[in-house]
Amino acid sequence: MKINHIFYLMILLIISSCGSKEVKHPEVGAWQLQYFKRIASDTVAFEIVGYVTGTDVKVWSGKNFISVGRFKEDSVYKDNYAAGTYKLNGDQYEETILYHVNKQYVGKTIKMLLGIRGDTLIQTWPVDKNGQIDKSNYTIEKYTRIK
Amino acid sequence: MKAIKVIFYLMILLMIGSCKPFKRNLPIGAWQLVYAKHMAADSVITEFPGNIQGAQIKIWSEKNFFFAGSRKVLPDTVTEDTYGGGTYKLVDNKYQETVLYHFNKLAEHQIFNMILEIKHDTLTQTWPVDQNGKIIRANYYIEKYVRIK
Repeated sequence: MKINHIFYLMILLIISSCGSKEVKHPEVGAWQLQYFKRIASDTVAFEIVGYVTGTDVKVWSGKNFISVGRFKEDSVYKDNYAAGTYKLNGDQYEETILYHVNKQYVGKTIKMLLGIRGDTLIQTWPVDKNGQIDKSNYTIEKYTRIK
Repeated sequence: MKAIKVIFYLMILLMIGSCKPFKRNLPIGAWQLVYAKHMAADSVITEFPGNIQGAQIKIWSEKNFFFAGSRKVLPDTVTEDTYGGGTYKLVDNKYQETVLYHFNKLAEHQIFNMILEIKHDTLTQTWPVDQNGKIIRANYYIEKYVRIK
C-alpha cells in the first residue's frame, strides 16, 4: 500500500516538475522577424521583405518584451526598438509600451492578436474590443524562433 | 516485489532524464537596472543613480540578450534612448557579449568579455576583463540588475 502511494506521488512529481513553464508561455524566448507588412487604407504602406530590407529580433520573458533591429529604406538605415510589458490570454495579446523608436507609442497600450504555430509566431494589430482586425488598416509581423 | 523495485528505479531515472537541465546560473528572464557605474583612474565618471537618471530593462533568452531604456547624463538635459542586443556565451562567471545592435554604433560588432554573477535575484555585470578574467581596473563598468517578477 505504501509503495502505491510513493508510486503515485512520483507520477505527480514527474508531471508537475517538468517543462510546465514552456507550455504556459510558448512566446518566451527570442524570435527573428521574417515578415512585416503594414496596410493603411487598403494599401501596403511598409513591407519587409519588400521595398524595405532589414531585420528585427524580439524577445519575450513572460511579462516583458524587447525588440531591436534595423531597417533600410531608400538607402537610409533606421534603427528600430521597442520595449514594455505584455499580457497574453489565449490569442488576445496586449502590449504596454515603455520605450519606442516612435515616441507616439510610448505609454500606449495596444491590443493585438498573437498566434504561435510550431516555431512561427504571428502578431496582428490593432484589434478592436472584440478582437477583430480592420482589414483595411492593420500590421502583421511574422517571427521564427531562434534556436 | 522485484518488479516493483525495477519500476521504482526506472521512474527515478525518468524523473532525472526527462526534466530539462536545471539552469541555475543562467540569466534567462527580464531584469531591471538598479545600479551602474563607470570608473576610470579611480574616479567615478558616471553613476546611476547619480549623474545618470533614467531606467533600463534587459532580457536574456537562451542565446540572446536585449536591453532598452532611456537615460539623461547630468548636467545634460537631453534624454536619450538606450537599446541594443546580440548573442552571448556564459561559462561559469565568464561572460561574453557579441553586440549586433547598439545605440552607440561604436559598440556594434564588438565582443565584450565580462564577469557575470547572479546572487539570488541580483545580477552583476563587470567589464572589461583580461584573458584571465580579471577586471581591468584602469577603466571599467559595472551594472547591477534585479530580476523582474
